[in-house]
Order: sequence, then structure tokens, then C-alpha cells
Amino acid sequence: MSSATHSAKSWWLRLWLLALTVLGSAAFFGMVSDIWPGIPVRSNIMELLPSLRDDAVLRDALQRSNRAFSQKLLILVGDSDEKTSNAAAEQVLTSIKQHDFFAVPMTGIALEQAKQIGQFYYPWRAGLLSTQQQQWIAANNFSALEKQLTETIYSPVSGINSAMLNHDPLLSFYHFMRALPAPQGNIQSADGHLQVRSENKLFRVIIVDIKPDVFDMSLHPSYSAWRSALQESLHKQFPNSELLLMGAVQHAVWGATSAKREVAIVGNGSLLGVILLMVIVFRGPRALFASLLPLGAGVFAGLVATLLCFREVHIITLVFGSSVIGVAMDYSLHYLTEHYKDSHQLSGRQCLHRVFPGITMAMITSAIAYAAIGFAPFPVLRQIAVFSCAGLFMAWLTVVSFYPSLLAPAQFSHPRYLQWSEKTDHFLCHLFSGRLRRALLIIAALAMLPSVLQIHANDDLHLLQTPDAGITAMEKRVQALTGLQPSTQFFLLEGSTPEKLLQHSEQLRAWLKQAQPNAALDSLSNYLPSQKTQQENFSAQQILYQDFVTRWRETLGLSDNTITEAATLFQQTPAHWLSVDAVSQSPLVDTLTRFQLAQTERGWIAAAFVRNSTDLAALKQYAAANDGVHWMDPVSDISQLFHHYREQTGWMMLIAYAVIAALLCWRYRFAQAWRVMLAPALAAWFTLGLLGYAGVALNLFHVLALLLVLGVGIDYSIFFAESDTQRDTTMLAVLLSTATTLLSFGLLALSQTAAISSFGIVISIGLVCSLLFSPLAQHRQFQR
Amino acid sequence: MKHCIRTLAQLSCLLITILSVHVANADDSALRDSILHTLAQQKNRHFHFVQEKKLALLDKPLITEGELLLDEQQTVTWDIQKPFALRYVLTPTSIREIDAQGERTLQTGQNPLAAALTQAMTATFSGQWKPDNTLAAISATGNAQQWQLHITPRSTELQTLIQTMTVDGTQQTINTVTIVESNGDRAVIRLRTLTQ
Repeated sequence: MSSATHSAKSWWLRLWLLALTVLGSAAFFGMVSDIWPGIPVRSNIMELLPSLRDDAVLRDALQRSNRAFSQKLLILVGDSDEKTSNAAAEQVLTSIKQHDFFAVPMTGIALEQAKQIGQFYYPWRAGLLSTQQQQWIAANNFSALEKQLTETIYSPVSGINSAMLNHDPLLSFYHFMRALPAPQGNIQSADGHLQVRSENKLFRVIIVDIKPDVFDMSLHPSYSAWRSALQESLHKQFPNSELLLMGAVQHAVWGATSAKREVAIVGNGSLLGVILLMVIVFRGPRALFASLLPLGAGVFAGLVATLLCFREVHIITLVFGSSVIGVAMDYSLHYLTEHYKDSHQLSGRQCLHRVFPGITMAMITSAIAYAAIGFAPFPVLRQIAVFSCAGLFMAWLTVVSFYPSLLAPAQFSHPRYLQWSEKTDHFLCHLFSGRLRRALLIIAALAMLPSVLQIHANDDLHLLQTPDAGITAMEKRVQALTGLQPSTQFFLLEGSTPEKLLQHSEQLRAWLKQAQPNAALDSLSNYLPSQKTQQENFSAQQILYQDFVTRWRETLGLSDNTITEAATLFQQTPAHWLSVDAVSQSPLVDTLTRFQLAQTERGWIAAAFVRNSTDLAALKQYAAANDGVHWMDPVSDISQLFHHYREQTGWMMLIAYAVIAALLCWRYRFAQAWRVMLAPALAAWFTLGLLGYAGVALNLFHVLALLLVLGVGIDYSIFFAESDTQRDTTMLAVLLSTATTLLSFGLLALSQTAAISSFGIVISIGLVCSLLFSPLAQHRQFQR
Repeated sequence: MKHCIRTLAQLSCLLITILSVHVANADDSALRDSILHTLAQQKNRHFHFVQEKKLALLDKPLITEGELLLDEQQTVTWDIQKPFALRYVLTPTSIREIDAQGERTLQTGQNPLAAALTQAMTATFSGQWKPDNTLAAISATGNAQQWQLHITPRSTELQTLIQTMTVDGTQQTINTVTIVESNGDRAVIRLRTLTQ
């Protein structure tokens, strides 16, 4: 071995060791310092989504609302026998108390609580009036008011008695309290608990918050265990009772469990397949272990680089990024096939010399393609881009620095593999040789044109999760029983002060009443009128006590005393009005939490919910035209975002093609470069065309997968472009590489989640096409 | 032969009536159950009513008159005709108010008092009181011919509104419902069967 070879070898080894030492030190330093204590692996699937709003105030408010909404679990337990329903509900409550991931369950409005709410409002009654009474008084419509009061007092169900009439002779406070919004749906409050009667059954309703984030996978095992234990014990003790659950946690647990199952199938399936392939082709575990080293070093480098850039790593990055680095098997395979063929005649250095240009170009072009993935705004995709690029580089470095000195000479014990690959190579090369065949290829490519031009798109959020039919059916039943129709669309109202916020809310309510009379606004101002409205209410009640009270007293036969006593309140304007501070220390504090009232850098913000709206577009328009009103529709926002980034990723792919083409032109000159580009480009073109003919709607994940097809497909072409003499080994390496990549990515096509299966389908079609077209890269030289 | 069967059937009906009267006299809870059973059996009843509500604070009683309809779904339609026209449709979970201006529905969920009251009303008129219900205790006095149901609130909600509720009846018919409140207010509803 010459000294030059030896020094080159040790130079590579030193570089490899240096890289590993730097990475290792960074990892150690990061772990012991506060930069990333331990290894912070995130498992919250919601973090996969990009942030929807540029405005930080709205983004925070949206997150708070989403969290408040998703943390709720609605439990219905019912039986035709009331006692059984109650006993079963008690058992559910006991099991809830035994698990610390549950907060305290929400009870019904006990009489005591209703009384407390009444007692809280009563001292502020001078400024409180139902909107309807306020309008009648403003319009001097005393006859409508009198009709309402008469009907109330005669009503068999108003519950008006002497004591109430004594405190509130004009029943203004009674009607304010009655106008407070009722809870949604058919849920009733009785004996301090919530219930629904339906289908001759009594369903007890238990609403409970889950304390940890429901999308955090670390919660899921304990939640599933709780649910199974509860179902089992209820089934044993109350066999006829029915248990229904509704909440985001149900979907989150199912989604994570099915994702884990899929990852396990794909992971184990591909691992088993790869091991079998390696052992069969190379007849022994040596090549297998040799190829594990670059993979291990690549994953380690990817992890450290991701941690350095993001200070945390998502579980999806680990899983997906590791699969991408699995593509780096190509480099090992390329070297190994070469090594096993001729290692008795060729030194390690010579062997490397043969494959070095190919695997280096392959690494650079793949890194360019994967870096393009990182331009999508999805935080996890950025992590995957960094992870993959760093990992690919390290895997490549390991192959070029280690293999020449590490691998002792070895020989294929089944040389027929090479003969078979050579035959395959011949077949593929002749597949597109000759004018007729090339014309056929051109016609086939042109046949894809109408399909590609007509391909339609799908940017639906449900790509990310396809809900389980059982959970959805149960949810529908709960919705039918309770009448609750959860909606993800709502308003966010802002104001520099709480007063301004409440005024915005009242203006919105007034507009809604006029524009959509059947719709109702559930907002903070229903419980807490603005000071402006309270002052107007006070003046209106003053008018009542001047102009209407005598008429009412005579109609009813009330004593003068009762009236005079009640009227004293309206002789002087109150010094204080009902305010946020007062409400926040009252039994109504839960209401503030429900509307997510919060102070921001700009002032105050709160949510408001619209029910029974028939024209959501009008609500959006109102928000666009009015200051301090924002219409939030995360589902449609995400779909729009998918649309935007599908297009943007498409452009990124074209740029990646252009950059790679420029690089190839530099290396191979134009005459050869376009041939190298042809295989992945044709593969992408045929994949798109076939998707279109199959009626598949194009989504962001298809486009991201096309980038991967470029990254992997270009490797194959480059291997062929660089292999002048060793076409048999190149074809074997490419065949093995296609098989391993299909095993790791192609299996994703089986996923139940549209996003993941889109990936798998595109990669499977794309890789097979890439393999078919890759010998085109060397066509001219081969013919020569 | 036909005649013979009819006589036998009449005889057996008479026997059952005598027996049930006998049993009812012997046991108060059996009388209660038989009254509730009889009331629950009757579907789609139609009454004329006069309600006299006396509030301690007012000089004169509040009198309403109209018709009352009970249907199979435990729905009570309270159709006031005098002194104004207004119809209430009460179900165990909601109160619907219907007048010339239209219709308004109050879900009683938010208001425990209204919920307790409508449940008590619908249960009383339809005879759908279960002996072990959590809302009120039911007892009976008298006999199958002339009876009284005494409804004493168990739930704190109903206790706030009502001290006692008494239903007077003869055989299968409700004659009077008297509601006495804790503060001395009282309402008497007199009923006359129109159709069954």
C-alpha cells in the first residue's frame, strides 16, 4: 500500500473522527447544560401543524381556545332505570377521581349556585335589563311590556311569588335573569348534576377537563387503560347501561395508536425485509453490519444537528428522518457490491475511487432535494430537512472514510446475482433503444399530459387524520342525545379596555340579530353588559318608574309601599357599575374562563360563539369590516395553508430541479446532464399522470413525496452516469436500493391516514419509474 | 254463547274493581300506585280548567281559564283563553310559549327551578310519578272512588317553590290541583273533563 494512499485513508478517518468528536461533544454539552436537558423528544401531534396566524395575540388566543375545547371530555352514561343510571354515573365519577390526569368534573347548576348567581347580580340590578325590555322602553312600547309582565305573573310555570314581587315589582330583574343564555342543547341540570332524558332512558352527563395536553402521546396509555377498565366494570355491574364518550382525546388516542401500529408494521416489515435482502445477497451478516454503521452515524448526526438547530426533536422527525437516512443505504450498497465483486484484485482505495463520484453527487443532489422540504412552514418538516441533510452527509462520510480500511476482502458467493443484474440492465437499456421504442416512450409521456393538466387538488384538513368510524358514530349519538353541535368556528373580540371589548360584542350581537334573526351570539356581554349599556339600562328603568309604574300597580293591585321602596334605587345614578373585576370574583368566574377572557399586549381579548348561523360567509365579512372583531376558522385556515404550501412546494421542487440540473451540467456537461435529469423527471411526470388517471386529488403530501422521488431517483441516474465499466454492480446496487426504499417508504401506502398513504403511493410509483428510466442516464455511452 | 261471555266479562271486571277498592283501602301505597297507574293509562285527555292564583302581596286573585291537553309523550298543553290568549307546551325538559307573535322555547336546563316545576307538573298530570323518584314523595288517601294524591317535594329545587301539591280526584278523573307555597301564596286549578 503506497504512503499516499495510506495518508489519504488516514485523512478521511481523521475527518470522520473529528466530525464524530464535534457532534459527540455538542451532544454531551447540550445534554448536561440547559440547552436541551436530557433529549427533549416531543410527541404532541398538534405541533406538526404550522401556526395559522401571523398575529401573535390572535395566535395565542386561538391556541388557548383550541386547548380549552380539546381538553374537554363529555361522558354520557345511561340506562332505562334511573337508579342504575345514577349508580353507574357515580362509578364513573369515582374512577375519574382516582386518576390525576382528570380535573374536577363539572356538576350541574345546583340550586345553591343558581341562588348565588342571582344574589351576585341583584345589587347591580339598576344597570341590568333584558335586551327586549330595553328595546320596548326605548320605543315607548309600554303595552308590549305590560303584556309580557301580565303573562309572566299569570303563568303556571313562571314561579313568581310574593317575595319575588316585593323585591322586583316591575319584574325587570326577573326578566334579565331569564334572558341569560341557556346552556346549549338538551342537557338539564337536576339535583346538582347534568342529565339528558331520551329514548325512555336517563343519561347522566359528566363533563370533565383533562389536565395534560390530549395530543401528548404520553397521556394516551393511561387514558386508554382508564377507558377499558371503566367499560369493563360498567359492563359487569350494569350490563344494560350505555357508556358514551365524546372529546378530542378520543380521536387523539385513536390517531396515535393507529399511527404507532402503522409505524410498527412499516418499521418491522422494512427492517425484516432489509435484513433478509442483505443476508441473502451478501451471504452472511458482515455486509449487514457494515451498512448499519453509516446508518447509525447518520441518525446520530441528524439528531445532534436537529437539537442544535431546534433544541428539541419531534418523534415524527426521528421516525421519518431515520427512514430518509435509510436511503443512505444506497451509498453502502454501491460500495459493497463493488467491493464484493473485485476486492481480491482491487484495494479498498481503488474500490472507493470507483464509487466516490457517484455517491458524492448522489449525496449532494439528495441533500438539495431534502433541503427543499424544509421550506414548507411545517415545523416538523424543517426538522426533517435538517435531520436528513446532516444524516445523509454523515452516512456518506462514514462510507468514504471507513469502508476502505474496515472491510476485509470478500467475494460474492453467488455470482449469478451480478449476471442477473446485468441481464436486467440489458433489458432496461434496450427497453428504450431504437426509434420505435423511444417514440413509444414519447407517446406514453405525452399521453400523461391531459391527465397532468386536469389533475385536481385536495387541501382538506382530514388528510392529516381520518377519524375512526366507531368514534365518529359515538360522537354523532352523543350530539343527537345532547343536542350539542360543537363548532370549530368562532369570533375573537378585542378591545383596548374590557369596556371596548364588551361594546364590540354588543355591536356584533345587534348586527347579528338584524342580519340573521335565528342565529344567537353566546358572548361575555350577555352576562356582563358594557358600562355604556348599563347606563342606558339605568335611564330606561328610571323612565319605567316615572311613566309606567302607576299603570302596573293599578292593574295588579300592588301596594304603594312596595313600589316606593323599589323606586328609591333609581333616584340616584350608581357610583359603580358591574365590571370584569366584580365578575371575576363571583360565581360567574367560570363564564370568564369559558370565553377565554385574557389580557394581551394590545388590551383584552375574548371568544364569542355563534349558534344556528346559516350564513358563515357573512360573519367572516362582518369581521373583516369591523375593528376588534376576528373570525376564526382554523379548519378552513389549515386547508388554505395546505393549498398555499402545496403550490409553494411545487415551485420549490422546480427550483430543486434547476439547482440539481446546474450541478449536473457542471459535472457532466449538458449532453449527459439532461439524460441524468431525465429519469427522475420522467418518473415524477408519469407518477403525476398515473395519479390523475386514477382520479386521485393532488395534495401537499404528494408534492413532498415527489421531492423525495427526485432525491432518490437522481441517485440511481448518477450511479449509472458514473459507472462506465461496472454496470452489473451498479444495477445490483440500484435494484437492492429500490427494494430497501420500497420496503421503508412503499409500505407507508398502507396507512389509514391520507397524508401518509399519499406519501407511500407516490414514492412507490415514483421509485419503480425511476428504476425503469435510470439506465437512460448512460444510454449514449452504453451504445458506444 | 255470546251473551254468556259478555256476562262473564262484566262479572270479572266488577270483581277486579271490588278487589282493587278493597286492596286500596287496606294499603295506602297500593292505592297510590293504582291511581298513578290509572292516570298513566289514560292517553290524550282534555280538560277545561280555571286557575285561581292568590299571592299574599296582591289584593285580588289572578284568575285564568282555558283548556288543558295531556298527550302520550308526557306533554302538557296549557292553553290559556282568558284573560288573554297564550299557550304553554310543557315537556319534562322545555317550556314552549306560543301566542299571536310566535313561539319561544325555554330549555329548562339553566334554570333548576323551572326544570323542577315543569317536571312536577308534567308528572302529576300524566301520572308518571315513579315511587322512588328524586323530585317528590307521593302518598295517597281516600279510596279508588274518591282519592287525594299528596305530593311533597324531596328535591331542594322543588322545596323552594312548593310546600305541598294536592291532587283531588274521583275514579279516573283529576278534579282539583292545589299548590301551596312556603310563603303563603297558593294556586288552585279546577278541572272538568271535556273528552277522553
